[in-house]
Amino acid sequence: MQDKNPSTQWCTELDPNVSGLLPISVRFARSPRVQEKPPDLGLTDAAAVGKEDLVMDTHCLGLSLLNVALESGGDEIARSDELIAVIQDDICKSLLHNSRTASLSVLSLTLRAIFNLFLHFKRHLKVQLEIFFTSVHLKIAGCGTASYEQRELALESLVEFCREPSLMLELYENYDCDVRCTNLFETLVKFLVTHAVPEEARGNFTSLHKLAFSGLLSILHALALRCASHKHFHEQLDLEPTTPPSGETELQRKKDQKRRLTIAARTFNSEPSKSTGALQGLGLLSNPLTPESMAEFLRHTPGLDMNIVGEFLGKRHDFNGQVRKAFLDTFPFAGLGLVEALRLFLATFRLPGEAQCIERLMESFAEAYFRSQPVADGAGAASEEKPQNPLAVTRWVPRERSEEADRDARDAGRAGGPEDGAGEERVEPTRVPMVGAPGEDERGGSVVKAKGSDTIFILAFSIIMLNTDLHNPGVKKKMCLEEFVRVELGSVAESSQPPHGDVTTGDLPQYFLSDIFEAESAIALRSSSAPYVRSAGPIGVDVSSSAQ
Amino acid sequence: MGLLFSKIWARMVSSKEMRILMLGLDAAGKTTILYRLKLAEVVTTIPTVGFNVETVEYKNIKFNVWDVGGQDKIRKLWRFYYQGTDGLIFVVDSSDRDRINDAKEELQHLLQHDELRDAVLLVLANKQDLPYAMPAAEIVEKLELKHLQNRAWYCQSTVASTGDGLYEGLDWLSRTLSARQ
Repeated sequence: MQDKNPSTQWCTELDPNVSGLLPISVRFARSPRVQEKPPDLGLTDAAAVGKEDLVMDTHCLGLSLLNVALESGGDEIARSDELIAVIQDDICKSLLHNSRTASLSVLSLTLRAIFNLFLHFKRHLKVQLEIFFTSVHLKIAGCGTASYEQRELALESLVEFCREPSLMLELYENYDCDVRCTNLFETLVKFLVTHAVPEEARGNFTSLHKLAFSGLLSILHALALRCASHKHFHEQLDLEPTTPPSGETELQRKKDQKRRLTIAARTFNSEPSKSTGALQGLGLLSNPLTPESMAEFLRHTPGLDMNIVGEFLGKRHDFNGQVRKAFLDTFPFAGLGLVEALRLFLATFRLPGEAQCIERLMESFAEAYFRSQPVADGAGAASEEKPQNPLAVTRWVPRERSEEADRDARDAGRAGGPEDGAGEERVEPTRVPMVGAPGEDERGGSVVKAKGSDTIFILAFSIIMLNTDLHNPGVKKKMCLEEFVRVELGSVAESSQPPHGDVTTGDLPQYFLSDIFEAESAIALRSSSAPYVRSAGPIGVDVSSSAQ
Repeated sequence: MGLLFSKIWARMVSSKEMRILMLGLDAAGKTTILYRLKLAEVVTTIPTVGFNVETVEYKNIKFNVWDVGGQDKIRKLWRFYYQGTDGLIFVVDSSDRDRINDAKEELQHLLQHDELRDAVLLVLANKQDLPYAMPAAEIVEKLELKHLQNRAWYCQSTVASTGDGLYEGLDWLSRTLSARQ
């Protein structure tokens, strides 16, 4: 907390009114949310009506204060991390909530506040502004059920955006050219075009049409101006201060990349098996096709159908198997608990429900996970005799991270890794600070020994079984911890003879299994099913929090 | 009074729930079959991560169907679910002549389990619509079903994508299971 104080103080000294105003206005601006419900119940009551008015006045006052604060001190506020956090979270939530109001004055002030946020804080509000634009402005302005006045207000606000020439350019650069965002500029222009003329040939030309038209004109005007002096404009771009102002070619490259990715996702989703040629044509897959490039495509292309990705990764064919391995190599599993790692993996596609697909995916997952963990004792000596199968050596596997362990880790700071004597063979886990120096099977140690990737495979497979058992509503009788441990240890004891001679999870301590059971029963595994926007490499502006 | 009695009787009968495991090599059509059987019912919004599990109600019997399977190492894990299994549905891709032997071995492995001693066996000779699909009689022969001892079994030819034959198969299951009660 202390290091944050100077920034507020500095801000206070500069403009005491503004920084004091902001938190107060935030409180007022959102206070009606809490009080809205009770007055609704007794609207006929005169006192209640009076109260309602009072609430509304307070609400408007709060929003006005917010606007004053933003307009007069926006740039100063933007320099304080604390205030920005308030804006990113509280203010955006309140404004989003306010946008559903029936009151025109509240709506108008809300739209004004959003506009002010756009002007001063766009660098910190990339995601939020996208949400505002699509689910406030465009939604209200294009909504048939909203009143004429509401639509007019929303449209007016949009036109106000259009009148900011650099803003339009930035919309294009930051949203239309970013693979993770919707095409805001394109959506806006399309919206204005469709709303600039009446739908029917002989319909009335209303003020709404006029507004949309003037918005288009503003955009065109700005375009013309920019054509005349586009060099000058580049110096004004301040949306991505870390990168040098990008040239037109860089922008074109980004836009082109986005276009190709969109086409690629559509092609893949409709005919995954026949899309290879088309994807190579787009330059998204290597030619000749390698598993690595396919894995990269499946892992990082936004908009892919996650069911299809899951089916592809789970197929029996050799090539699919190679892709599966390459796909798994992209995950940083070192130091993660098994359930945690599994969650990380499953979040990137939709796990198919067929037993054999799950088996293949879990087997590959186990190998990748196991390889990422540090080698335990004895491995160094053995490696002198013969090169060992990296999947058959004994490795340290982290326990599930509990909150308790997290706290301990914070208290203890960074402690040493397991004292396994493997020397240079050992890969130091990076994610989880090892707590203390665990003994071999000592309760409370943060790692346990696993004697081969098959151990992990059996465990991972049974975690999926457990997830089905505990969280699928189709299963009535749920497995309990004792049963899970018995199934686990039993299966392991039996599979300890064939086929490698050393396959066993029998040495896993019971507390390790109960950790897994607890982690698993607390939160169900989630697998992404809808095409979702995934992080797409190095492109993009810093987005620190969403408006949700 | 008689009406009341028959109502109670109906409720008792309808509460009968059978535990069915569905097995077979991958791509035999298990998922399609489950989906087919569920088609008339409401599809759950967010499917749980994990194995396909569905409850299908047919002729007063609730079939709780699990898609299980896997290689040796994994099969031990399923034993927990083998307990109390009333029936097995073994799905075969009738057009896959290359792997019919694998299917036979998988089935033989499975039937050796003690927990499945009492389970009745329904073999679905699936994908009959494909050219050169082996007819049910040939599947019976290839899987050596006639060598089975002390096992109620039945082989039904099906086309999962259209649903042909599925309910005939379930009919046999419900008849056989009811008769054993």
